[in-house]
Amino acid sequence: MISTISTIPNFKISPKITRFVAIVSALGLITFICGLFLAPERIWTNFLICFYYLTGLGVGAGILISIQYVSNAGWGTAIRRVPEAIMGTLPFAAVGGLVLIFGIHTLYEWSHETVLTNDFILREKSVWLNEPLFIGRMVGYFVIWILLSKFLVTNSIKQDKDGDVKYTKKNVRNSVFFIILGIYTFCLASIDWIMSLHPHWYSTIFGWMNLASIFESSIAATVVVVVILRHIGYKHIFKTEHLHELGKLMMAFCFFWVYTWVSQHMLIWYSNIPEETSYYIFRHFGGWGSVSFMNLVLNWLVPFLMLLPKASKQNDKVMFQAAVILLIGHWVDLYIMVMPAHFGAEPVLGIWEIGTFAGMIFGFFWLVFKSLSKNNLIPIKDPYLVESLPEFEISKS
Amino acid sequence: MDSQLFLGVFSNEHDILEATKATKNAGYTIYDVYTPYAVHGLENAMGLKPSRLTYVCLLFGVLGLSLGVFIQFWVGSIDWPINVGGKPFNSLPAYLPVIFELTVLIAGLGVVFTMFVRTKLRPGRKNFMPDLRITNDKFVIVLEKKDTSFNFDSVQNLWGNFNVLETRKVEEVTN
Repeated sequence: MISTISTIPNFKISPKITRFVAIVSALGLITFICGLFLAPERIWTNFLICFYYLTGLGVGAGILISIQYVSNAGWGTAIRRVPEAIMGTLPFAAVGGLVLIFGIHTLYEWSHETVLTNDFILREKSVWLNEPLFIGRMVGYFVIWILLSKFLVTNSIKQDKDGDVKYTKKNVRNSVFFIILGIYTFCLASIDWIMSLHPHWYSTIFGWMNLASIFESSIAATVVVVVILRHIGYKHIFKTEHLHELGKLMMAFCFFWVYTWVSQHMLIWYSNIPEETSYYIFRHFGGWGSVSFMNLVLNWLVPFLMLLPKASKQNDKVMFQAAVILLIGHWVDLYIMVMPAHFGAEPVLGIWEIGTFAGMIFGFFWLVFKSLSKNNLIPIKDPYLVESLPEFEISKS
Repeated sequence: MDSQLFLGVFSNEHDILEATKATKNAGYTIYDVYTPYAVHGLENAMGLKPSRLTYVCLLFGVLGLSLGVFIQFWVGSIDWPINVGGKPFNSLPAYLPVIFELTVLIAGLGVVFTMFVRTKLRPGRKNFMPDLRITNDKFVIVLEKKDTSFNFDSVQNLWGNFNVLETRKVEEVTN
């Protein structure tokens, strides 16, 4: 039987799960606080990874929504509340950004006056890389992202009441801004937060590579949430077709990520300039070499081969596994970008890495489900909904 | 020659989908379904098998990949080694762009030409057109009479449930 839109039950999180997530997140927080005293350098690098991961998921989800609005895409309307919920974690990421301010001196070489006086190149670069401007830019990025995401979400929720087309039109305009501003600011943010860990090194494709990976990981997070919702009984609104489309996008961007990765790697390898190759020298040998190799395997080879057949993109289990592998792979990708800057000798993995990441990712998914349970699970009066769920129009008439 | 094909004309996507499902379930042999644009779910309703072109595509992709590796390795390291910027003769990073392009090129062209050969599509081919309105706004199911028990009246009754506009025997119509 086809159920009508009004019969979609709102979704509740069981208190058991809430308790579990609260414990994991609290452990993550305790790890962070203990780490501040016991291993400050380790904990700040891990904090940077987690903060950047969370921000990336939010911005990537915003880009995913914006692309659909701007291209007048109808297929994703039914699942749009999921990326909207992911985008709702941006204010929490902004809090993380405020905490990061206290870690600037531990993390970034360019923030020390003594380094600047001895280093001609960093003195020149301090026009861009200085503390007040760094903090100002961070605030600016978050103001842009949070404002635009709030506009997108509130318009979408207002539309649930009266179904007016003007909200869609407004959101198309907001989406144009999100795509242009979001992409430029995120490129700059990745340069500020990650690339400046090696202040002498530069790569012109670095921002693009990061954009590819955040877009990919936010699609993977969407897939995880959609598969869980399908599992608990929303198969009639989150259909196999939607999963299939998400699978295609996920596979395409998994390949796009490796494309940008190779672009950066190959050009640096080819031109062989010492100040550029310094980045790859110690990421290619010894323990770091294995992590780099694992990065490619987890982010590209395994998900790509898994998602290649059509049947696996329509299969909940395979999609879930591929998405989880991509989410872990994204962490490894950030790990290989951040950690060698501070721990040059050998890769380290311990309670500080696992604790903070587990706390962040469980907290993230809990926030997403929490905000999904607040509103209608699908935009019930969106004019494009009929394209996404054609049966609903037929059942209405 | 006595024509063995019968058709029904429908006016919208929903009707043709349901009519195709019902016809298939009633056990008739569907010759083909003609629509002005791609209708989602029609291939399932007609009971078509999944296309095998994907395997052909994979095969050509692997062929292109091996060709890309082999050509560059043979040219760059065996037949005519040239020292470029002191790089080793056999260096994979330098090969990657050409490997990628050859994989895409050969997989793409290979699968298209395989499709042409399998569907006998060629320039100047006359296409079978049961009804000229399928190029405009009508949807047509064509049935094939396989055995003597085929009764067109019962088909017409069945299609009556789905707002059929017109039913008739097919005369050859070509464009």
